[in-house]
Amino acid sequence: MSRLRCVGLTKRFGGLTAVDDVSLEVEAGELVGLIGPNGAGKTTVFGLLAGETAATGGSVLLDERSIDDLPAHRRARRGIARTYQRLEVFPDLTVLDHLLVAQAGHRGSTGVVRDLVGRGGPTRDEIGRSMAVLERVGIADAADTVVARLSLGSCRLVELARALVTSPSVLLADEPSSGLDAAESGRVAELLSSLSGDGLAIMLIEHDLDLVAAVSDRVVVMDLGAVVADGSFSEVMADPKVRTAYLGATR
Amino acid sequence: MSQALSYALPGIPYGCTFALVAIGLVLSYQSTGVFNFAFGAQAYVAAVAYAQLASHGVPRALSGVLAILVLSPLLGVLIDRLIFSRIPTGNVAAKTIAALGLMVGLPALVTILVGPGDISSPPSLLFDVNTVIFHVAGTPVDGVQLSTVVVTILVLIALTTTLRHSVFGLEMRAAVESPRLLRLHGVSSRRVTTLAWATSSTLAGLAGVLLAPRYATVSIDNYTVLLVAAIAGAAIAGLESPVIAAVASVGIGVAMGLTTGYAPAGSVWSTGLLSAIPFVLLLGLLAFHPKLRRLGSSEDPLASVDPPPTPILPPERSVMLTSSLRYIGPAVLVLMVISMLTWVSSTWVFVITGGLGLSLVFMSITLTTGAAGQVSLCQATFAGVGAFTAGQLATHQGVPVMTGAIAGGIAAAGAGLVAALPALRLRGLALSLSTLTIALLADAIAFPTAWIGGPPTGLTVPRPMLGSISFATESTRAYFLLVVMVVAVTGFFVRRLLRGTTGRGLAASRQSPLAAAGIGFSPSLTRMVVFALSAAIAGVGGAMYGSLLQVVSPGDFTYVDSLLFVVIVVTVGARTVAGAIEAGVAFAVLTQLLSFLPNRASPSSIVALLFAIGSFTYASHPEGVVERIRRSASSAVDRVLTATGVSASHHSIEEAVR
Repeated sequence: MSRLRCVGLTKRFGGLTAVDDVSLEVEAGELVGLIGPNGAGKTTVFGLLAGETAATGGSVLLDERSIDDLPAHRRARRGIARTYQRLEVFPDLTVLDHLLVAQAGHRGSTGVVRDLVGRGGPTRDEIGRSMAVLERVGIADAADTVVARLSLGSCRLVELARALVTSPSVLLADEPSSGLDAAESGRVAELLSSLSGDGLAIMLIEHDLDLVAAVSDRVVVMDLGAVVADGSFSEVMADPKVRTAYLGATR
Repeated sequence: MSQALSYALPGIPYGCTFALVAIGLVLSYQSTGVFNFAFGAQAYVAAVAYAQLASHGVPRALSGVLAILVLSPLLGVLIDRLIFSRIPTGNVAAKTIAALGLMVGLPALVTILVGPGDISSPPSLLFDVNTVIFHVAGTPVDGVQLSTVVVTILVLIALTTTLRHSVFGLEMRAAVESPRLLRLHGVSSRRVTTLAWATSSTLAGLAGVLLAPRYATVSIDNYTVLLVAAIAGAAIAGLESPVIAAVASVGIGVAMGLTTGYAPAGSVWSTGLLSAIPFVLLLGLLAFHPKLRRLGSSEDPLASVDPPPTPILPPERSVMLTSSLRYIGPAVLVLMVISMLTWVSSTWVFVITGGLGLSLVFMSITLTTGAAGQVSLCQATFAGVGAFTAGQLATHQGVPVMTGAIAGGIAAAGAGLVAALPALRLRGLALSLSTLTIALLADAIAFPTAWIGGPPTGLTVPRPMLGSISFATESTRAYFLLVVMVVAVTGFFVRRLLRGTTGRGLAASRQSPLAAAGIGFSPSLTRMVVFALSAAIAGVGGAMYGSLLQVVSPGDFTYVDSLLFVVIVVTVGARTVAGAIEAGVAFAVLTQLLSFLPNRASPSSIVALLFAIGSFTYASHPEGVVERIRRSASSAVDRVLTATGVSASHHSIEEAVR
């Protein structure tokens, strides 16, 4: 049974079809690499899955139930977490705050009443869970640092930790290794593998093909908004359509 | 039929003045990305200049040329170069606040230069109001009406030809897409932007001068109505086509003409309904026009090149300074309260109590603007709801005023929820516009109604009674103490919100709405809660302030106050409770101090101008003036301490607190 699935997903911006009849699925514990040249529509697919943009057609199913009518924040509470290609952090907050606020958001309350009666502080539980995730991602040292003071690479890890702290069932990771050095991106690869080992369903958009080859169970290749290949890394790389997508048509 | 025509026709020239401003709005939004709230104020400046020149014997034509073709473009260039060109494209909040600063500052500057009295309206530019040129279906058309229509048509033709067929037009249309791409192609987008500002400002000036003779006096309020109608016109055109904007604006003018004709003359409805048309139209458009909802979100493909808005980092200072300040701060506060209760003169006690009452209203802005990052422009309206509720309950039901203040807070929270309804789907600029519209609607219709705003002579809001002690018969000092307590309690709770889960959630939604939704925050729930809470605080503040004054009238809580309040709070410091209190006291004290000036200018205008200028620094210093001073002072003290070897270790505040 697939954890997250989309069928015939289509998105048109005016005359441009950015995503064209895309069907994808990811199972629990599976890591699906989503690759393709720039402008293939990969990030748009993530936006559609997460509910940030409304689809022109097609359907998204979480645990085989349609979530088409749910806005982004409700899909997040159902267990779809994501990181962003263009960094989306909260610069004024500390690293730990990012994880606390994510847990508050997941609860679905604004916290006003608890704040007013003086119980607005994070519980020991929440802090414990946050520190465990920071430990696993490898930025526990920076817990009390304001994010504006961190490097781009650390910010990517903050995003990843923020996505993981609510124990989601699906992770949509959009280029988590861009801007990271070789050692850091190696750590991210290890982390992703171990997360999928724990049963998390992961979709990974990534330009570093070595990383994709190392961690993916399956690779989906997109070009011009459509899926052109789907299979193991070596299979899709042998596919002439994939070569055409990356290198252009030969005559 | 001919009757309808006779009502509709006079609406056309009105509509034309709206159209001129609407064209300017579209032009400047398209070419600079700034949605200029200050357009009405710019039109007002030109009208005043024209009226002043004409009344000093300068020939009408020359006055017109000076006001429209010299002063207006110059004003546009100055505004662009001194203010907007310094704000990064993506920083919508800073642009909105700078435009508000102008909206507050320009009329204040006019009052300072010309004097506080009414400015009688000037003769018309081209013809005389009483010269009837010809009749259309039995309806006389006077010279002013004719010239307004002709000028509008000429401007429209000139502008569309320029945009379509000249190099400048091409560049301007390119600047719409991306000023940066334009720059990469070797065209100075600065020059294009400046030219666009000069052009749109000229259009505002033209509208201002043409409209001036229509009213008895040249007053900023008429130009705010002009602005709102023009915004509605521009909104119908989706802020894209100048031609559609112009046609739509004329349509609004005609609709207003028809209403004037058919509504029973002299009734509240004829005045109320008439002025409400553009507001209601704009509210509807904002809520339902998809293009407007995204208003202000930058679509420049290269916008991500911009540096992000300056984050407010926690200050770094030594542990020793932090811990000593922890005792010095409260000690100073206690000393101040004791002084107020003993030796400070009663005039000053009154002034500072007023400032503290206002600081309650300002705390509501700390929540909306400081924490949530949304610029709400109807906070004074909520304060008014609170004051009027307390006053009406006390006057008619004999309800004690403190109970009334709480009821006022609840009533204001209800008003806040209603105000948040159109705002549910809106944020950024669209939200500011819709709240401004609500404030204007309240000013025009709700507050002048006797059962809300009280009789024209003012509504009595008594001072509270505690057992047999009346806070009215005792000196103001007793009431001061009561206000201090209310401020302390409210501040305590607001601080809990800011520092708790709520504050973190609001900070998240402010800094990345996308990621906030991505972790489960509902954007509309957050906005509803913030609006209701802040309105409640403003309502209580309004009631307390009203009880200090003992008589309130609709004039105490107008949209102008709302604008001024936001400008004051962001200038002094919008992020903290302390900032709100300092803002309230600073405003009251400054106004009182300036009233000692041996000058004919009104002190409130000088204060407004000062804070307006302060608000222009919001882009580079969102933490506010006082916080900035405090930080540089504490780092200076720190340097001395470190140099003398008293203190060695440096920690940021957050670490010291943990």
